[in-house]
Amino acid sequence: MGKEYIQLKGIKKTFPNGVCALRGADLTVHAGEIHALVGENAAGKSTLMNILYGVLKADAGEILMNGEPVHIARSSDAIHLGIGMVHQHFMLVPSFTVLENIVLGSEDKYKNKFGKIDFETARRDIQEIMKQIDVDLDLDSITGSVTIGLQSKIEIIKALFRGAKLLILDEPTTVLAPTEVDSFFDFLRKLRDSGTTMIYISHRMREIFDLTDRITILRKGETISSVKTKEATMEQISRDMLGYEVSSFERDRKEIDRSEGNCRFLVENLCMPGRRISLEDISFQIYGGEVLGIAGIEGNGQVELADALIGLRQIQSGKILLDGVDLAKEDISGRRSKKMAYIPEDRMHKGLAQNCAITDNTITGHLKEDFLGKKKVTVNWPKADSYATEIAKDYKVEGFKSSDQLISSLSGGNMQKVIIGRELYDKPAMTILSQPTAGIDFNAQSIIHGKINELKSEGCSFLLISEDLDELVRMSDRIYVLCRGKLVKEFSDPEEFDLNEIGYYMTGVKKDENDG
Amino acid sequence: MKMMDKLKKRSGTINAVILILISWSILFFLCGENPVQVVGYIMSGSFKDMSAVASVLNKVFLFFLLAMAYAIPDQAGLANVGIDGQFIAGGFFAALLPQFINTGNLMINVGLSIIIAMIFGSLWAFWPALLKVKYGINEVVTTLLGNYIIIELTEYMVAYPLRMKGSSISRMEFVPENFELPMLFSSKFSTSLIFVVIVLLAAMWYNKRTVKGFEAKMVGRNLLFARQAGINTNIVSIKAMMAGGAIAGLAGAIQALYVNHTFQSGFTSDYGMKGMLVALVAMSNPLGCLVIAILFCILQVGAISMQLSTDIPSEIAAVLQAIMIFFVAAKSALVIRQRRTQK
Amino acid sequence: MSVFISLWQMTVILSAPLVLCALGGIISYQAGVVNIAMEGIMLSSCFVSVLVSYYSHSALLGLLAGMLTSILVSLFFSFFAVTLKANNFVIGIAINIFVSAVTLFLSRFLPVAIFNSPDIAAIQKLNIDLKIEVLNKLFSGYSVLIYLAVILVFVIHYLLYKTPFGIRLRATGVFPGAVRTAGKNPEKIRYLAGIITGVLCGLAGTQLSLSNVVLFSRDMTAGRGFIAFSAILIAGGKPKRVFLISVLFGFCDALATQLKSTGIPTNFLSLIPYAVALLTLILVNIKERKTAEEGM
Repeated sequence: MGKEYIQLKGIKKTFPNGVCALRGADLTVHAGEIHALVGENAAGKSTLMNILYGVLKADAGEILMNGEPVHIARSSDAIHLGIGMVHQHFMLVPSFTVLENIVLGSEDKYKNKFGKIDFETARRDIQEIMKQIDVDLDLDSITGSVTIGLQSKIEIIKALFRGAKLLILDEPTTVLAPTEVDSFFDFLRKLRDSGTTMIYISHRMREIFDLTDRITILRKGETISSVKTKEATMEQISRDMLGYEVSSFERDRKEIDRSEGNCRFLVENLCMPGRRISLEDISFQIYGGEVLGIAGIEGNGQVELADALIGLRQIQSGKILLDGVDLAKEDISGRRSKKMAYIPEDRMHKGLAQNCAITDNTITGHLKEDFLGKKKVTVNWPKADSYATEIAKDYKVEGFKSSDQLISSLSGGNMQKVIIGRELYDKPAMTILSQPTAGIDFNAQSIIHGKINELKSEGCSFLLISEDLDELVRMSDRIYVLCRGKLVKEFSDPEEFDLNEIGYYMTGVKKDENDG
Repeated sequence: MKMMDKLKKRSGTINAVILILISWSILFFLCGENPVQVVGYIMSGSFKDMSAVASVLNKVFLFFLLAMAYAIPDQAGLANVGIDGQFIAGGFFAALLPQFINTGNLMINVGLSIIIAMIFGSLWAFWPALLKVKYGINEVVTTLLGNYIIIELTEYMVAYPLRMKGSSISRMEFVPENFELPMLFSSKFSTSLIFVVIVLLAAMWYNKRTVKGFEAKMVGRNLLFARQAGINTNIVSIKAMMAGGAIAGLAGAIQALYVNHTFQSGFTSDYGMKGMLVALVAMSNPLGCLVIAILFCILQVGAISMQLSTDIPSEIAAVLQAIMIFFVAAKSALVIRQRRTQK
Repeated sequence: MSVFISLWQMTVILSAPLVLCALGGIISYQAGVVNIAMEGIMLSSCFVSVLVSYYSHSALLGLLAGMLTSILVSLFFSFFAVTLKANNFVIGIAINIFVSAVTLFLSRFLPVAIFNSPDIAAIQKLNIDLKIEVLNKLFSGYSVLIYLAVILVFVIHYLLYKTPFGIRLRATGVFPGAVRTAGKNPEKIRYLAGIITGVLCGLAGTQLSLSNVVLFSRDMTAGRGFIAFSAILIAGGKPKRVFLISVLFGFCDALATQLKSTGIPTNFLSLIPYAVALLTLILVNIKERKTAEEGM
């Protein structure tokens, strides 16, 4: 590999809400390599890269390029230095054409005399780039209607169009099915061979060893080690990532009673037309003590399904039966009173009220006789506070001092613990979990998974909708694949959960022969 | 921990108060007067004797009730800018009622007027709430346009069909004596103060203690979160607006039965907007609304006596009030930022 | 026939402030800033234009002073809305009340005669000789600002859709994050948008107080800022549509004025523009909801 190209030394960053993201992280990237930046969720990877790209400002530390210190105060500085970034959540304006999105930010270079943007020259330049890396995109299509896999390519072309020599990729494969990853990696290798250096953020072992040349590991905001990929082992990396040995997860091998009497949750021919995606003929059962996993790429109907089941959206037809009671006509509070619980995919905007106290967040929708006053008209606040405190202690919420404090003072993982704590408190008959551990550190993940297993053994059933295939494979007793609003395949034997197979169904490459 | 937090919150308020006083002083200075003297005139105008104090307190209902008419929907996440329209609706029908019904008993008469006023006030608040909830139409625009419409409609009614015969100004027939709001135990203080106290206590109890009050607060803080929790956010929103409208209607009834003894052209002089200012300064807190309302009344009454002693027109009161809002809005934006950084 | 002509002329004159104000509001709207303070911004320009025009006997100076004032008020609004991120509606309404209070106060504090004086210089009218009598009556003799308003419709359209600034502005309104990671500053863009809004609302205000009438009276904007705002919402922020809708509202205003002589009570007539604005807003929104739901 080439000489040292980018160096970050001693970067420190604490956010205004008190969370310390980086405690002195270092990173050295050599020219022409694909460098993996590895760590579990909330280790500081995205924060470090956002500092390199000028989106955030470091509290301390320095950045060197080719040995010279550089000052990056905003993204335009980074862009001028030849740094480009593809964020995990795409920065594309959905209503603009692909051409407009790529040009956004570079318009000044393409102005003609009257101040009008010269789209023709820009178009030609973009086509040059696309030829070099062997990609073909329709520049006039509306970005919002393009598939997610292509959108990631648009983001990369956008960065190259701005002259990026160093490309930061933040978890680019989260939106891809396992089967699409291979061709994506071929594309990245072509990029590297044509001279682009890359920093590849991930926490997925297989990908790191498949693609990258060197690995740097972050843990709790510090750099733990940096090695050449050829010389590293998965156990070593995993250990450095988490700080301890992880014993292989022992699945709860208890047999699920799948007799008719034990069927707790039944969905039959659920149909819900929608503007972006329509749910067609969704049918499944969940038995007592079972976790049913729903696999799928983001945008294939997961949100719609969860919303339909809890009642946030109206279904057109079909049955939703919980312990024999048809919930389709009930509103949300009716379904919740029949012991259905719901953990939404967007915890910040749907799962809690950020500028409210922890107590407020735990009792909303979960008012119990214990802390209601006479005739359920008043709230007994001391009792409500102790209920919230009980949940916080049970889930080992870090940073919890009193239930009066704002929930936004907790980190993401701990906020999610509070949400799950309140939803599972009453041991609900049926819980919908939508991306429950997205972006959450391993510790919090284990606590949450542990609680789910606890309740499984008491007969509670769970619907686990997740884009994290590892989580699905570990936690589910059966897996369905959701593709374009339809359930296309059932995997009923945990022994036969094959990631590639699941991947083919997720992308629609394979279709169930029994599809009728 | 609670005491420290409360002090932290108050320090922002104290800063804001100091800045406000400084701006006011600069303003007085620019008018060519000595700020301390001006404040003196304002104070003496309000406190020199029992009559002055009474005239201040008897005005409190207007600012306070209209502030609450904004504050209650605000807590639930709705901006009720249609207070003026609801105020007018209340006053109009309260003054109209005697032309149809007169039971002969003062208490019952007044009671009926007030109830009718509150009903119509809440009805005029109902339709913008429905439009917002069902079609997402912004309530600020609908209520503002609605205000202009109802003003013109009622102006017409008192200019022609309902006009009192022989009157030079457009107004309804005067309300008969047994419809007038009585004074408190034959003192100088009006019974409007009783309504102020009732609404204050009811609002405080509702906000702090009741389940419905809590749910309304959560709807105001995050609509989607409240909805997925099972709260019927549409009903909560509509009820909150209607409650606000009812209180504005109550204020209108009192204004009609006690201050004007009728409904006339120019019934509202942007009182609704002033009530909104009070609520904004008090950040929709009921007790705060009362304190600020009293302050506004002192400014209002005092400004008149200030006008007698200086060259400054009494319209300055509005400017003084408006200055308060900016510092408070700035402060509340900073408080929200502070809340986010709290450990 | 003469009724038609005077109706036409009235429509043009009464639409002009709405068109100018709404065009200004579009820029903020497309940048994602809900600017409900246009009423106050316009009113401040009305006041200052008259004041400066009286003392300087120059309508041009009055115009410039009015625009400058509007820009300042608009920046004031931007500071609270963009930097402090306070609630736009609250700040907007507070500014409206503030400007109303200050202008009222000053119009009583300063010698009252100024604001209704014959010495106020009005905006120049432009006389184009189109050879045909009728065409002259319809298209000539309006204030310079009115012709400017028509030109501005096309300028704003060009600005929004063909220039780099426009593309960044529209992106800021939809997805500021994309703009920031593209290396531009959304806050700066929003401030610039606020300045443009100030300029156009300033023109609107001057047109009102130095041309439509030549005086300043309390709250003379009479809710035009809110009507313009409704027009923006109805038009979805598109310049050519906003022009048409503003003209529609101006027409209602003109109709009301014309009908005054027929003995219909003035109150009903004054109602009409507001009621039409409200109803149009409601109907358009209901239709949009229905099509969105059908797509579901």
